[in-house]
Amino acid sequence: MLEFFETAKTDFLATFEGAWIFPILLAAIIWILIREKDWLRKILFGILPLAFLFLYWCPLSGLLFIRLLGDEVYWRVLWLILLAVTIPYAGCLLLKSLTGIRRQAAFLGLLAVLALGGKQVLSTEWFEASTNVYKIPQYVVDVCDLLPGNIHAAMSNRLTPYVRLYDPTITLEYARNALSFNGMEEVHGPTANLYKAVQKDEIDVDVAGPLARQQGCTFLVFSLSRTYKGDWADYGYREYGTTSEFRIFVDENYEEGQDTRKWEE
Amino acid sequence: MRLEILLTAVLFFGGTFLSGYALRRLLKLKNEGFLFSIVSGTMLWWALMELILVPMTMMHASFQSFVWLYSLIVFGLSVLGLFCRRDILEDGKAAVRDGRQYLTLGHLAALALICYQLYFIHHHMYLEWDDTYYVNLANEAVYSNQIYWVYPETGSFADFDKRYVLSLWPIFYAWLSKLIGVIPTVMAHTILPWLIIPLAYMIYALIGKRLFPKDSQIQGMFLAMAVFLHLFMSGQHTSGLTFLSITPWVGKGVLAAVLLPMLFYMVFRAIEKGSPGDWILMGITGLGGCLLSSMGIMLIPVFIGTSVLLTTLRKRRVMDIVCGLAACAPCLILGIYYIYLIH
Repeated sequence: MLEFFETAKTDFLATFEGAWIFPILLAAIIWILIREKDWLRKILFGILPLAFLFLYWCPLSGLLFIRLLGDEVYWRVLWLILLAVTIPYAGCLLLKSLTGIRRQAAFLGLLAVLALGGKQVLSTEWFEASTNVYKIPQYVVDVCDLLPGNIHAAMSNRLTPYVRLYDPTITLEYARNALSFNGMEEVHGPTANLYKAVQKDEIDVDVAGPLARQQGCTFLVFSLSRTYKGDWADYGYREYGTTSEFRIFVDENYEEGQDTRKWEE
Repeated sequence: MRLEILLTAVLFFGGTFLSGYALRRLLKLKNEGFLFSIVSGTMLWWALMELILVPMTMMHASFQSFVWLYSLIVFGLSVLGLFCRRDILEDGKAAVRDGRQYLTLGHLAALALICYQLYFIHHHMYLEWDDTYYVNLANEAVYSNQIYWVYPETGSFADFDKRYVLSLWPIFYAWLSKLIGVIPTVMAHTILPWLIIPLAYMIYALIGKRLFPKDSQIQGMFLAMAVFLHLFMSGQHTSGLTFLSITPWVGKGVLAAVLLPMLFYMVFRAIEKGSPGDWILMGITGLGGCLLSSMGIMLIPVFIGTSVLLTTLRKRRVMDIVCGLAACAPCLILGIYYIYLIH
């Protein structure tokens, strides 16, 4: 039970922190309950959000939701409270009682309250200027433009989430799923060991090289900041090219246009 | 890219507009206006896609065959919409007649804010890690011709992840990509915001119109405040409204920003009017929501159930509960199947 309240509290704060939106919502609900005469509207705009808040905080329904949805996404239950319906409706109930210039002024005042009470979503805190139509980091595009299609590769963690968004014909030896190996002291299997080996600042080529070859990685792409203990040539790899941030190695046996994808038809 | 955006918008809004008229004729929902046709047509498209896609995925059908079948159905619906010329003309006349009354401070403010939102999003990017799964799912469909049988993050063949098999929203924009001829990544990140953001606000405009049918000035103010809340939220990605700006291509974002407000609108309509057409459209909306996210399969019955139960306590009309249950039926069936799949 305590664990449930901890989850509910954490998710609730995570959703509403850094802004005054929740107090504004509560004020809106109270205003609707006082001012609205139509019972249907009173229920749908005033009582319904309260009912969802109750369902969210009630351990009985909450534990059921957590069982069905998982505790990592319990905050999504809060989506049932339609903030952009309830708050504007309360505002309109106020505006409805005014006319002319007073209504316009009150409307602008309400917008100001929302702007001051909320936090700007469209800001550089989350967004960055896009440099390509794919809307992925430019360093990914730079690497992919050098690589041929239909290849199998092992890459830096900075590239794996985005490479296939640019060129889905590239198959990856590991991707986001490999992040789970980060916390492990000992891992099993060639993919996991290759992943662990290339995470080090100084990559031991005598460990990574045979594993990359065994797994059929035709291309290897690592950050320029990586240093190497050993020679990739000993394992049949040569430098293929560089970008401003990455160095690319290729299997010496690779022929231009060859299809080396793994597990794909 | 402007041409691709324009083509996709014409295809999407044009197709849903006509399909919406066909559906409205069937459900006897007359004189509701253009916006209502577009949103109801969209819900119909998504619901039909869910109906077709789930069995096709289970049967290992190719993406190409899905594209053919779904396109054919959508085309058929649009053609049916053309037979509703009289309804379209009536709504058109009403739009021309009443058009000037929508030139209010609120509407202009809302329009300016929406344009700013679209402009900002078009020129910026938000890096979403989940894209490596969802957007690549669409990419794989187009490039490998497989629906969901390739692990999207690496490109390896895999048994499907049962959590998502009932809600393959990325296949929707994979379909659009195939028709327009762009890679799904571009469709999701660059083109889809131009469809989803206006669609979301159309629903708020409809809610405002329903609430204040005789006061267009207040309607505009309602819409402007709704838009404003999407731009000034708590600034956390966990809040549903924020998704419309940061990741309008993600299924759960569409669920929070489009589907749930639409469901609210439908609940409001159905309980107020009690027409069978409204209840059926609510069921269609619920089914469409199942396509967006497995979360929808759970949240939609909770939303409809709670709303209908609360209003019935006051209204004492048992028929509403029966209709509400029927509207939830698609979600309940899929929900039971979901639980069976994951356990």
